Amino acid sequence: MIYMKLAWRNLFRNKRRTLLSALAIGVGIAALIFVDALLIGWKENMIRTSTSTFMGEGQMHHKGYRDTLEVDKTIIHPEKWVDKLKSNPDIHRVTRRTQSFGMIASPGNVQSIIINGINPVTEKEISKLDEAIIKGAFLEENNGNNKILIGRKLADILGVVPDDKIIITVAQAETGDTAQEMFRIGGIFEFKIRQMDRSMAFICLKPSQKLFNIKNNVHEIAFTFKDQNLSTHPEHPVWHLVDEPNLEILSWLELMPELKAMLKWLNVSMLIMALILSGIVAAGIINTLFMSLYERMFEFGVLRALGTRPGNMAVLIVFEAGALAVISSLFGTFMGGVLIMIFSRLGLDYSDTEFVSVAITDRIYPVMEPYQFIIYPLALILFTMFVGLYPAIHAAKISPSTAMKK
Amino acid sequence: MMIIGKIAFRNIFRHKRRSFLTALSMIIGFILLGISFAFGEGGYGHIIEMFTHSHTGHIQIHSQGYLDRPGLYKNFDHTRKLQAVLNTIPDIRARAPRVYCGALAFIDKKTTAIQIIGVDPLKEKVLSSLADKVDKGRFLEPTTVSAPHNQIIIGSGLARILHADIGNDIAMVSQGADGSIANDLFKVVAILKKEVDSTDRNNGYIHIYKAQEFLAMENRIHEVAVMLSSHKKSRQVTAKIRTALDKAQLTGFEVHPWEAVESLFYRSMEADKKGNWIFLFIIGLIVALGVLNTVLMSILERTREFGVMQAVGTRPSHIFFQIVLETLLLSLMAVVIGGILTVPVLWPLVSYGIPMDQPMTIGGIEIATFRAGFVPEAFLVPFLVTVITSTLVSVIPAIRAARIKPVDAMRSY
Repeated sequence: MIYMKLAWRNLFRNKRRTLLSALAIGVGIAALIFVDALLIGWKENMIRTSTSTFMGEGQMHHKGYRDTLEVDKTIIHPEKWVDKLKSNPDIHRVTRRTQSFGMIASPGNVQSIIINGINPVTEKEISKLDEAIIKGAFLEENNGNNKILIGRKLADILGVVPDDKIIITVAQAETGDTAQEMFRIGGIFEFKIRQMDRSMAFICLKPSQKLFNIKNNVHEIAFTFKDQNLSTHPEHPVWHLVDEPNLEILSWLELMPELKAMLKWLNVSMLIMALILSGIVAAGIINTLFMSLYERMFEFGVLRALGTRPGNMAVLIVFEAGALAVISSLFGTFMGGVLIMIFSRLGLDYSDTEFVSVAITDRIYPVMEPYQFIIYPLALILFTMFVGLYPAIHAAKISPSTAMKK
Repeated sequence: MMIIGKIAFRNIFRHKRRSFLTALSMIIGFILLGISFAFGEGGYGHIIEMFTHSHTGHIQIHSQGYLDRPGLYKNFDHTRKLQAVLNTIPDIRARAPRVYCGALAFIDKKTTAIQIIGVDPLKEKVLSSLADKVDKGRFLEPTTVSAPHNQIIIGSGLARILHADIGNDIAMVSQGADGSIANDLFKVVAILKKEVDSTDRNNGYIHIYKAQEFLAMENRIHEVAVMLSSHKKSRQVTAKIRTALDKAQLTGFEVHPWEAVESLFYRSMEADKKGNWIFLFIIGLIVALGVLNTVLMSILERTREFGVMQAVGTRPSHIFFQIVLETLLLSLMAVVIGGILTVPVLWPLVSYGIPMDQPMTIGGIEIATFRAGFVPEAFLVPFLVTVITSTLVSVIPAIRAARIKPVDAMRSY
C-alpha cells in the first residue's frame, strides 16, 4: 500500500514530465478509441446500405442461381416457403421476386440489364425502392402491369422520361425463345449506387412471370428479421428451414462474402493499429521511466541502504508506471470521448465512394460504445505496467554504494 | 560555429541510453509511417498499374458525352487525321481502338446478356494484358475489313452460363447503329481465365472489323485507349492531347485520364488515403511529445553546465543553436537507421503482400492482394516528418536554456 502511495506521489514530483508523457500516451488511447468508434460507424453504415436498400437480411434461391441468374433455376411453389418463413416468430417481412438478364431498348439506345419482378406491396416493406423514386411513381399492384421502374443513370443513357415506351427482350425459361414486351416508364429511381442506378429495372411480379415463362414460380424470396442481430446467428432455425436439396437459404453475410471479408479485415486492421500505437507508446513510457530513474539514482541508493528489498523497489517502479497509465487513460478517454462527440454530430464525408461493392451514400458517424472506454484504458494500464518491468528490474539491481557515489 | 557542432555531436553520446531511447521512438515512428505510405501510395500504385493495363489504359478518347452516358450512336470516325495528331505526341506508348455494345447471346436454350467489345488484336496485345488472360484456346487472329472472321473470346462467367466451350457457335442479337436488328453467329476461340477481374467475366471480345460490320458502324469506333509510360503522367498528357486536337481543329472529342474514367475508384482511393494523413498526424504528435519530454529533461539536468558555459562567455544564441543542432543530429541518425530498417520490413510486404482470402473491390476495381510498393514517399514523408517535428519541438527547451541566468543556474545543483 505504501508503495502505491509513494509511486503516486513520485509521479507528481516532476509535474511537467508526467504531464507530457501522459499527453503522449493519452493521444495514443484517444486515437484507438476514436478509430474503434469510427469503424463501428463504418460497419453499421455498410451493413445498413447493403441490407436495407434492396437485399434484405436473408434470401432463398435455387442452388446455383446466384452465380448465373439462369431463368430456369426457380423456386417452385413459393407460397409454401413464404408461409413457412412467416410462421417463424422472428421473421418480420417476406417478399417474392423474379430476376433475370434482358435487353432494354429505347428509340435512342440499347442496354443489357437485370430485370426484376417484384410484388409492390411486400417489396415496399423490405427495400427502399419506393423511397428512391425521384420522378414518376412507384408500381402499384393493379395498374402497374405494363409499368417499369428504371434507374436514373439508365434513364439518362436511354434518353427516356416517365410515360415513354421501351421494349424489353428476354429469353424465356424451358424453350430459350426470346420474348419481347412493351413497357411504359412508370418511375425513375436513384439509389446513388452505380450498379442499381445503371443496370436494374423493376416490373410487377405477375407480368414478369409471364415474360420469363415461369408460371407462378419465383427466383428469390427475400426476408428480414424483427431484430437484425438474429440474422447473423448461424444456429437460427430459419437457416435450416429448407429440406429440399436444390434450394438454399442464406444470410446477408453469406450473400456478400466480400463484405464479410471486409468486416473481418477491419477487425484485423484495428488490431494492427493497436499494436503499432502500443509500440510507439511503449518507447515513450520506457524513456520517461528511465529518465526519472536516473535522476533519482541517489534516492534509490538510500532506499536500498535503508533496507528496502530489491523486489519492493521493482514494485515501486511498476506502480509508478501504472499510475502514469491511469493519468494517461484519463486524458485519453476524455480526448477520445470529445472527438467522438464532435464527429458524431458532424460525420465524416465519404460520400461518392465505394468499398467492396457497397456504395457509401451517407456521411459516416462514429459510434460510442461503453466497452471502448473500459477495454482500451485497462489494456493500456496492464501494458504499461508490463513495459515498466524493464526499468523496474534495472532498479532492483541497483547497488547502494555505487548509486550513492553519484 | 564548428565548435557548436562538435559539442552537440558529443553531447548525444554522453547519455547513451537516453539518446538511444529518444532515437528509438523516432525510429519506430519512421518505420510505421514508412509502412503506411508504402501501402497507401505504393499499394495503390500497383492496383492502378494493374487495372490500367488490364483494360482501361491511362487515357481514353471518346466522342463528346460518351463517358457520362455511353451510347451506341456516340461514335466517331477513326480517321487518318486523328491518328496523325495522336502520332505527334511522343508520350503515347501504345493505343488501341475499341467498339462496345450490349447484346443477347444464345447457345441452344441458354441465354444471357453480354457486353461485346470489338478490339484490334495486334494493337490490343501491345496495350493491354487481354492476350495474357486467355486460359484455353488462342487469341483473335488478324483479319480483313471486307470479310472479317467471326471469332470470339468469352469470359469465364459467360462460358459457365452458356455452357460454352471452344468451337461452339454463339448466336448474338443486338441493335445496329442504323436502327436495324443485328444478328450473327460467332465461334468461340478462347475462354478467359477465371481469376481475372469480375468485370471481364461477362465480356465477349471480337475483332473490331467484325464488330463494325455487325453493328453497321462502317469505320466508326467508340473509344481509343492510350497507354503511357506511367499512370502518373495521365493528366499532363491528357492536356497535351486536348490542345493537339484543338490545334488540328478536330472537334467533338473528349479526352479523359484514368482518374476520370474510373472516377469512383479514384474518389474511394483518395478517401482511403486521407486516413493515412490522420495516422501520420497522430504518430507525429506522439513522437513530438516524446522528443519534447526528453530534450526538456536533458536540459534541466544540464542547467548548471549551461550556466558555466554562459559564465565563461558563450552567447545565449550559441547555446540555443547547440541544443537545436543536438536534436537535429539525433533525428538525422534516427532516420538513417529507420531508413535502413524499413527496407527489410517492407521487403516481404512488397514482394508477397497480404493475400485476401476473398478479393475485395474498391470503387469497382478488384483487389486480390494488398501489396506495398517501394515508393519515394515511403521514405521521404517519414524523413521530413521526423526531422522537422523533432527539430521544431527542440526550439522550446532551447529557448529556455538560452535564457538561463548563470548565477541561478550554477547555484541550482
